[in-house]
Amino acid sequence: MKFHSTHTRDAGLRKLALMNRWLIGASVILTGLFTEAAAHAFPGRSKTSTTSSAQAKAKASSKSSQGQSSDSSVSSSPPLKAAAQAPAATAEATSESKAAPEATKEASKESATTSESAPAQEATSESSSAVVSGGS
Amino acid sequence: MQAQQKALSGTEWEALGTSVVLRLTDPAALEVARHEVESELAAIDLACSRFRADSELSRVNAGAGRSVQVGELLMEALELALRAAELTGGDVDPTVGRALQLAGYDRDWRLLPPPDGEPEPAPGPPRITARISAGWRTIALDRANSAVRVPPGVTLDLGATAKAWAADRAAAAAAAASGCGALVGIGGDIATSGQAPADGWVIRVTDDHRSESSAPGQTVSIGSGGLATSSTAVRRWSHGGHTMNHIIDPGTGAPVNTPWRTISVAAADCTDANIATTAAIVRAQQAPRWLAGLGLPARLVSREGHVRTVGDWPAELPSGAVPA
Repeated sequence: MKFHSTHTRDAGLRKLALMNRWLIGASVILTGLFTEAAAHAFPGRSKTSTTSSAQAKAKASSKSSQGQSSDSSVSSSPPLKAAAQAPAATAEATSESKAAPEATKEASKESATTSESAPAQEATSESSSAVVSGGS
Repeated sequence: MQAQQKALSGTEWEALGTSVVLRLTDPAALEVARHEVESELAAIDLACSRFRADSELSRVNAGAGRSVQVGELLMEALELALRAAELTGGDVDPTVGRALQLAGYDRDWRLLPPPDGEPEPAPGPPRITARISAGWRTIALDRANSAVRVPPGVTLDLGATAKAWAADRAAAAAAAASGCGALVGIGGDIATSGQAPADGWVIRVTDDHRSESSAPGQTVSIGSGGLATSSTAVRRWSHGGHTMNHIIDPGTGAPVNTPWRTISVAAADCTDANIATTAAIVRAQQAPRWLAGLGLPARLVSREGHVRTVGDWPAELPSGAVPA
């Protein structure tokens, strides 16, 4: 009788241990599945702390490389398209431009500080009917 | 070139809170083309403006958290905005509306207090980093039911894409109605359609679209497509004692801190060109490499005024030189 009750108790404990293992395994799997589903459903970001310059740079660098990979491999939208022809250089000096002393006097920072282009051209050029493309 | 360009007809006026330029290769068609452009811009303004209480976009923003019925035009604009976000890895994100409001951009920018004589934002860490940027993937478009849903607290802003898209649509409408070549510039974002002049459309690329064509910059010509310029040197205002600009970095939710003052890109249409310029401003040092990888000709001007070109963007001609 005593042997029987001990045996029964041990068998019950084994069943409980097995059930515990199953429960732990199932909870790990369910947690993973739920996390994955939540990540897809709510991918937004939030920022609540001040970012240092170094952190910002590192982040920008990291983000750019992520963006590049997503641009080429993940994106399903048609890519940004180049024009059939690239812009062409256009002669800028005109007879009108020589009669424009204000433009010469007001040579801006760009023409004054650009080392990789010709500053003189910036100050004196004018195309009377050119449409202006600039920031807005 | 001069004779060719002077044969063009053109007119300018204000719309969408900025200046509109229309050029045609056939002077006789100016009136009908302008009418088409005005109709197109009025429709887009009514659909996409963040500053009009009666716009569809304002209705969507006011209805954040629930599904809102929208018309075909806004649906298309939203799809385009999401395409821009996807193609740029989220650097051009329509959910930055709330961040713009928090930065003080809560009305037509011409009504905002001008910066206090500060020429450029000082380099360094972003001044304000606590911002709401929900992320473009939270926007749910239901094309079958013509409905859109944005999460509660999110405000959409289509400023990074809608203006250039409007230029593309207006140029196409003008060319179709007039039967000639048309160029439409909206706040410096330029779209063309139809047969171009023999020597192309002549464009002065500079910092500010309100500048004279003699302003420092470069003159180029394009035969088709679009050309857009984004700049942190314009549309700036003072808020909380700081100088703000209208380009938000979705990663920080704050006005972008970039080494570039102005970036111009030529592409197959103005929309793609503008997506590229905005993303390039946000991408900072990575911009030249990114643009080169896309094969887009570009001109980048640093804060200090140094010019860098990418891809097939032409070198600047010396004064008086004749292009080969």
